[in-house]
Amino acid sequence: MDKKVLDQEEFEILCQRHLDDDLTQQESQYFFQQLKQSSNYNDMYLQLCRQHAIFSQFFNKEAHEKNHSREKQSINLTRYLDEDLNPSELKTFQQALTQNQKLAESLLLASHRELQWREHLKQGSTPQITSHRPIFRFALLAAGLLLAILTVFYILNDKTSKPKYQVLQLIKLDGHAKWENHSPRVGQYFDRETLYHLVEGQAELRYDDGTKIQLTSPAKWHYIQSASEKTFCLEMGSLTSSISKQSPETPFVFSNPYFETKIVGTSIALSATNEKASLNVIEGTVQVQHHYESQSSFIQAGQAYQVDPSQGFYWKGEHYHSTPIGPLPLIQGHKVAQFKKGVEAIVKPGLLEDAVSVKTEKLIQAEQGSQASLFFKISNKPQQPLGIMFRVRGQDSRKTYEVRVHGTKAHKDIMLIDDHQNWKSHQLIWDDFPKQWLASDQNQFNPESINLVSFVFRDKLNLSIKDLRLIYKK
Amino acid sequence: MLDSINFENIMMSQQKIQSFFVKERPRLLAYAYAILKDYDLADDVVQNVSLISIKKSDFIRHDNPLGWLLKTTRFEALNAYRKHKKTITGIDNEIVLRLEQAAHDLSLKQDDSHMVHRLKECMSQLSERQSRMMNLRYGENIKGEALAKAINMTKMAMFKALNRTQKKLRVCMESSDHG
Repeated sequence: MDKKVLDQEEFEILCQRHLDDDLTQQESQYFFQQLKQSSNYNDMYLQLCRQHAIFSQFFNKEAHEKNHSREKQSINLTRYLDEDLNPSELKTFQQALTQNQKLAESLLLASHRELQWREHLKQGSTPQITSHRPIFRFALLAAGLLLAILTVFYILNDKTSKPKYQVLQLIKLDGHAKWENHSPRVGQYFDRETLYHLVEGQAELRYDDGTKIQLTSPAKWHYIQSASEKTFCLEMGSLTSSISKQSPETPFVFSNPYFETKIVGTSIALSATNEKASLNVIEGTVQVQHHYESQSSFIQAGQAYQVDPSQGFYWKGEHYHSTPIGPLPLIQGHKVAQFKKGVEAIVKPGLLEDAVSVKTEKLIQAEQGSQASLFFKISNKPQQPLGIMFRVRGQDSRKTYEVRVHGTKAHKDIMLIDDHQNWKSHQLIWDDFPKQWLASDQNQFNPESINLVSFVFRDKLNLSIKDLRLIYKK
Repeated sequence: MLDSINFENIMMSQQKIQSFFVKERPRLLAYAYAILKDYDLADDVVQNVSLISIKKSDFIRHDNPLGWLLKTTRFEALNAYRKHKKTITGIDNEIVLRLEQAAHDLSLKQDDSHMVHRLKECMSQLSERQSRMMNLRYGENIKGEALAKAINMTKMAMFKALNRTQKKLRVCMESSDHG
């Protein structure tokens, strides 16, 4: 891109293209460079964002109002036919019918169709097109055929990014299944980007492409579906899945709080809790990308990938280097069962080079006198193992912590930490924010400064220690 | 170290922070949107900030509540970015902080609901094609190449047309403000 000064229109178009994800990598860099160079550009971009937000509010509201009333009436119709409306809902529904003749007509037609379907379903057959006059029957068949051809043509040629909203269907539910908030029925499609919580039992879901997912409770999940993305996010719970052949450009992605798995077509078992996540590959090969690690890894059939921040990182693969380190016993040889053909994988502690994700919140909230430890190593070079252990002792659950660091050159000593002067202590509970920012906030208002061991822990942004509570330095 | 009386004096009441939040919501929304590029996600973030501000109202200093809200929005937005888009590409700490400053200085003549109301009046000034383009872009969330195809334009022509349409609406909304 040129290094000329952009006029307002040019910059606004650049902003628009940035917001619409239309910039190439080079153009994006240029855009960010402009933002860094001039505060005017920052102001203009912010103004434009506000304007976009107003447009989105306005047009979303209009679309929502239209769809909402149509959808709501359609739901009410089904409930009306099922005699599921309570008296006040029934009254409102009847009022809507009397006030809106067009709606009444369309609902009448819909109810006729619905009743016809129900009747046929009862008889175990599908409704047939019937007409007493052969010419009409022929015309209807011809119209149907034409419609089918047009639909196939449209589907084959539709390369626009218009999202397919509902592609995931509930196909089986065991007798004990219980949901929270939503109660989907068998046959019903799930809304995308909506969090579902299967509290009890098991459920089987199927994508329109044939991909099947068996969920075991308790499971929290949602899915993202667009022309460029197909992701099933398991926030908690376990699943097994058999994935249909996918296009290499848009692989199927399973995501959990720690890593994501790209799949073109294979079988896997995945489980995730708030504390850890694991993946067993039953068939084929999948690509695993830790959320905070720059490099991805390939896991083959019979292998497993597991992340357990409370115990360290577990890794089964050829990159593992077994180096005994640290004073705490590591859990060696953790077994992961359920592989195809009886293959058994041994999961051993391993390491991630730069992105370390460790949750110490539980330790910090430990009661007075209690103590807990966690351990991990950071190195991908077998000759230079780097073991680090934190021991967090809750002398006072809110005020004083003791942090012991082993194995690094710079931080061998015990560091006593005192944060009771920190008026913002309650704000420091965020687990997921760049700690450097929190530290600088804290340092602004407190005589004792906090230093992060950032040369040891870096996430992808090089900003923070992900999920690790602040390390205080006296 | 702050003593408890002083501590109480400098913190905001829940009611105050709520009304302050309502006033500043458009600013926070613009900032979250600038980071996330996704209106729905930005809206969720601002909702979260609202809840956090109520929960933490005892810890918000009244000498700089806007700073606190913007900072919380920043944290929440980056958190949402990580959760939904997995990685952060391009936008870095420096830009995020510069945008925060810009958000701090953003002039808010009218609140969003007022602007939305004005926009309804201004939409009548658009041609059918412009109106359709805006509907597709912001109502149906169709972007870039797909939008250009839908309105039968080249991509760059579409971006220019979209920009001109938005400018027209902006001028109309601002003149309505004055009038």
